[in-house]
Amino acid sequence: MTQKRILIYSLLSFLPVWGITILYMLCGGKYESNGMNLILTLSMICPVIAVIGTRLFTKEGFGSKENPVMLLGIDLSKGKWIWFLAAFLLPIFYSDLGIGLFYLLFPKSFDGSLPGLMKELREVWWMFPISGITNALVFSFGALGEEIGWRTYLYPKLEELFGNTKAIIFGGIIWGVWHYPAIYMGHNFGRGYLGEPFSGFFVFTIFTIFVGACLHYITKKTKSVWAAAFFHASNNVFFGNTLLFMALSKERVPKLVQESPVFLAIVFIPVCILGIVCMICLNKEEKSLKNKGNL
Amino acid sequence: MGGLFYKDFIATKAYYYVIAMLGLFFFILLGHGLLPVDQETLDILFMTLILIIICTLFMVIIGNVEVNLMKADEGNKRRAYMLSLPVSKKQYVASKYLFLLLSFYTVLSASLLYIQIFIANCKTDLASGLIEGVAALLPVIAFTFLVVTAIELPFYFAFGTDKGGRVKTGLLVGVFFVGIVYILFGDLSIFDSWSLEAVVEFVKKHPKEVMILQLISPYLSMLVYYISYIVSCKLIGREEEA
Repeated sequence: MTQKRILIYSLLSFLPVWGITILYMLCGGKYESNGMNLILTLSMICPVIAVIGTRLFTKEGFGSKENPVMLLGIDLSKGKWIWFLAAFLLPIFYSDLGIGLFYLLFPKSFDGSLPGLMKELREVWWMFPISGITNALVFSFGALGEEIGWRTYLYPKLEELFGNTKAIIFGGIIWGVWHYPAIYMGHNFGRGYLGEPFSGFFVFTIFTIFVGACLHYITKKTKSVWAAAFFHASNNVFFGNTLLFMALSKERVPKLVQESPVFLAIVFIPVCILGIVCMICLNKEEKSLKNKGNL
Repeated sequence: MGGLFYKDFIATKAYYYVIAMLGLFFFILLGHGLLPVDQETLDILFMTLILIIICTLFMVIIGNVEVNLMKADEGNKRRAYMLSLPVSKKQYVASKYLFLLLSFYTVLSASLLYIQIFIANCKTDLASGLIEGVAALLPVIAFTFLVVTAIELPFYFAFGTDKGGRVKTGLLVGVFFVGIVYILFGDLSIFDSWSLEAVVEFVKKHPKEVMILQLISPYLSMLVYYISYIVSCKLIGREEEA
């Protein structure tokens, strides 16, 4: 039954997103349009609709007070608040670390003259973290829609079947594949890069596997989908901001890096390391629970 | 607390609002492309419509959901009802505050979605520019409404919806009266430099200050909301002692 539920959920979350994006593409829609922006926003709500649909269709129900399955509550007691704080702050650190790593590998690419937008906004640079956190908080409904789908439904179901590690890998792959039509249109990687679109698909899937591990871990720790939603929203805001405002001289970046997803692959390394740490912690906790005979 | 949320959701008939918001979503999504009117008229029409919808949604929370939320338990004699609950008084008050906070979050999210749908369909630069401006200010507007709610709630907890409403009206009349007295006897020259152009000019001249205001308004309003929650808890506690 769990497999059937995963299949129904996947169909319900994939069909509208893939269908509308492909239709939009066939109608000549461009990525840099307001229509695509709308599709991306609406896509983020599809997983929660898929969860509701699957739960209704398979008569699974929506849990109870003793067994909350949607994890919509927020409990800040017993030190759980620290995980909520981490949800907002971790993306700032790993996106900045990623950029730092890039500069370390390609020191010549750093442009100290602060080009473009960075120059204009030099005076208000200190506002970006606060602005990012505020935006992540206010505009978290899209991320919440996705997280209810992936973290409270798909991942626990996969975990039931395969255990933690495989659940994170399979879940990450499914989550990554779900983004493919948008990436094909130019999401995250743009157009005309080396190995398009498969290199983009590959890098993004690796990213979703490891970010998925972080999100799964934080959901388990807080027993709340909100923490994952804030993490996801914060990740979207800060990766976007950091890439937009980074002091980069594109001419000084090697051609291969410039024309392929290698740049993002490097920037993603710190979050991948964080994902591995989360996977190890999850496995340790799973083992200790098994030893206690709770599983 | 989840049970209290569900009870409040039913008691305030919030499901009607959810259905209405979904209906509006499909209307804005489809209506903009289907109505047989020229594009410019359609854009202006839908822009006006969306602004009215957003204002109405926020007003509905303050004017309807909030009052119904408080009224629902009054019918059950709140004190006896609270004692019968498996949660503490603080949790009971918190559930009301969280319910309203979630209502604001839902309306804010829905409003942003409506605006995004409009922008995707809009082909008139003026209309899309105006609505983008509204979208940028929307969080500030939402948090202003939240502050109004924060001021109202302790009155409702202390005096009930009827008396609380009267006290609130009395206070507003008082403020109005003070205003009238100032207009009659005060120095009106300070208003000479007040105009919409002056506000726009200020915004243009002080982008940093405006940005700071946009950034701190959510935190300030949340602080006011939290203080309001503490005051309400104390008022409920005092009611118990009496």
